[in-house]
Amino acid sequence: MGRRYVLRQMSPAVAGGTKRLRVVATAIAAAVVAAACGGSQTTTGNPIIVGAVMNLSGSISVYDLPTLNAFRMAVDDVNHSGGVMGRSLQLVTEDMHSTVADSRPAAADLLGRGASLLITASDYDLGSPAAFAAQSRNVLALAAGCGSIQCGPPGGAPLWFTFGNAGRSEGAAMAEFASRSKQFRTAWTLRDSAALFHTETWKGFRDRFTELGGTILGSETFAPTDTTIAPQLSRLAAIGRAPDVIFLTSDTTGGVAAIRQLRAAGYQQPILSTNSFDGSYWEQGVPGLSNFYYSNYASFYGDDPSKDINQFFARYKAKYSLPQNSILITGYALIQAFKLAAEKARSLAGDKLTAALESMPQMDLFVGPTTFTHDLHIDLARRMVVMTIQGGQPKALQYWTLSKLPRLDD
Amino acid sequence: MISLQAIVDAVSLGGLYALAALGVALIFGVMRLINFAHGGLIMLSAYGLWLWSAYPVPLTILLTVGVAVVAALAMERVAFRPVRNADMSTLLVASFFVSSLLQNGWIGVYGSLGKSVSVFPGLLDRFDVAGLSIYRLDLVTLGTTAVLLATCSLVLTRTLIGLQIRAASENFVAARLLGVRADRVIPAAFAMSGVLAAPVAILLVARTGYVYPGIGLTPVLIAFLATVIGGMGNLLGAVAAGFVLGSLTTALQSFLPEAAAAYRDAFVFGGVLLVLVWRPGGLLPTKFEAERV
Repeated sequence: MGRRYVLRQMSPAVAGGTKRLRVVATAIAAAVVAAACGGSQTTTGNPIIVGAVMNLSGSISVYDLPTLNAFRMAVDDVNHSGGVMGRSLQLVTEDMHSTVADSRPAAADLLGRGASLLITASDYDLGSPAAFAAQSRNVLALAAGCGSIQCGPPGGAPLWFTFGNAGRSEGAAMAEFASRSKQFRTAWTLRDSAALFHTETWKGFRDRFTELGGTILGSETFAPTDTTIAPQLSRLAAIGRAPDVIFLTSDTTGGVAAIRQLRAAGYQQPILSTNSFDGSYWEQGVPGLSNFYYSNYASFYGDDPSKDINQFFARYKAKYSLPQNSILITGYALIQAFKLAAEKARSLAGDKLTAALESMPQMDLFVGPTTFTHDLHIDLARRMVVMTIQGGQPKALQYWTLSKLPRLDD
Repeated sequence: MISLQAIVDAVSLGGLYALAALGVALIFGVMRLINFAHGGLIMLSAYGLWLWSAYPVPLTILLTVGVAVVAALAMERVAFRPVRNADMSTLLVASFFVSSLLQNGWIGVYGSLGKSVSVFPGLLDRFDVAGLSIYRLDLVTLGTTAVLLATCSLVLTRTLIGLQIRAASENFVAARLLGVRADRVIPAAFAMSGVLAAPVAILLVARTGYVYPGIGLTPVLIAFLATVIGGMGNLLGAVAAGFVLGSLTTALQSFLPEAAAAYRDAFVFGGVLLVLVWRPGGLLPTKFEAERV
């Protein structure tokens, strides 16, 4: 409307000049678009709607916002290379505000808008209401980084898969690393009792370390909000024998305090932990930290053993900013897996996609070759990267793949 | 030896709890308000440390105390004064609101990831005395608690405003009838609670090196329990109860088997329940509460 009005007010010469300009501008724009799409395959038909119930606000947004960026990058890449079954993907998000009560309503909204894939929060409690909503409509549900076997059939959700690392696997991997790579024989463990993930990691470490002939000299628990771990350290001192290694399972809320107090108490032994310590935002709490090792999804410092991962993080950094964690690569892997499953199933029905995902061993995904089975929709033996911090500098050491599956029986 | 070490650990933790309890009990005494937003003051002081840790130590401490006092006065003026005469439950809801607002406001601005900061690292040095490991921080905690407790006592017993605060905490209506000005005495108590919140944050962060939006929640919960079992509004009772809770927590952590130690806090809260069954008015009930009970 406005533009027509403006043209009417112009002299014919000016209007003609403007028209020519518009033709030139349109031609330039078309050329730019064509150049940008150079080499890409075209997609046809209605887009496939990928609905993502994410924590875009609140305490968990710090993890979900970077993962959402990874979804966007993966969706762009998939669309650029011909889409899924010739159709493009369209990402639609709903905020669940880091609140479990918003999980199901947000999912229902996205399903009502025709989502053929529902992405849930990366946690059983926060994600399962959305997964159940998807399941009731025979829609596949995928969680990027849920680290529990419950995100799948054992949690009552046979159409739900996760690309996260299981706690047991991370603990077992660090036990193998401690035993085989470092020849540590005695360990003392400190476990954060607040989250199930930490208990699972601790069990994974305990089982594998003792299976490999190691001895656990003592195990202590603490709460992440504890103001001190002095009593635990007193009990460690009372053992009268220094352990070769300390296994700490916690996150930065309680873990930084624990590391700080351990080091201040004179325990300079290697401390082993998990991906909860990913990111360098916490290291100022223990300046110049050394002899610290943790399992992780990938290294975003440009030194990951995989060239693809390094290129991905360089792209990510250029597009967004330096990430705080590497778990976001599970977001990229999720979209890759959906494309593989849909193209194998030639269908978007949840049960067909599930059958496809269960029948593709060693799927070539960004997080490493991944296998799902009928009973477990999480890969318990996928590769991890072992990271170390020396002199305050994080560095990737090597990939570690478990020699056998962790026990799940207690 | 582990028993003696446990006593050292207990006294250190108890001192921290006592400081937190003193701040909460002070406001309860004057206003009958369990101020859960006291945790927000601790959080703001802790983030102040993170922001200003590069400054000279006295300036850092001054700014950290300053931010807590200003925030305490602001919350009194904006949130609590308008509902001062309302029901106790209204005050409680208001304090939850302020607490949640401070915490989520902070998450909105700075995000939910914690910030790490190494303040006063020398405090984590330790020395051995007769086989016991003692951190400088333990001594500083104990010294700070003693100094602040003594200062509070002096202010409360030797100054006019202190006299008014005590009168108000015994019987607020009678005190007002005798000419105590509520608009003077309540902000004064809030300012004092701010002064008491800052050292909790400093001692906590010196030990943990980590600041996060929920950092004030545990101290304020313990302070609330200490206020209740200390005898609602009795300052000395709250401090004593702070030490009792610190000792109980340390004892359970030191002597429970590992499997049971994970449920340590359930035992602590169970102990609190037992105390209340035994003495419903708390360990040192105030006269005001005695009449009501």
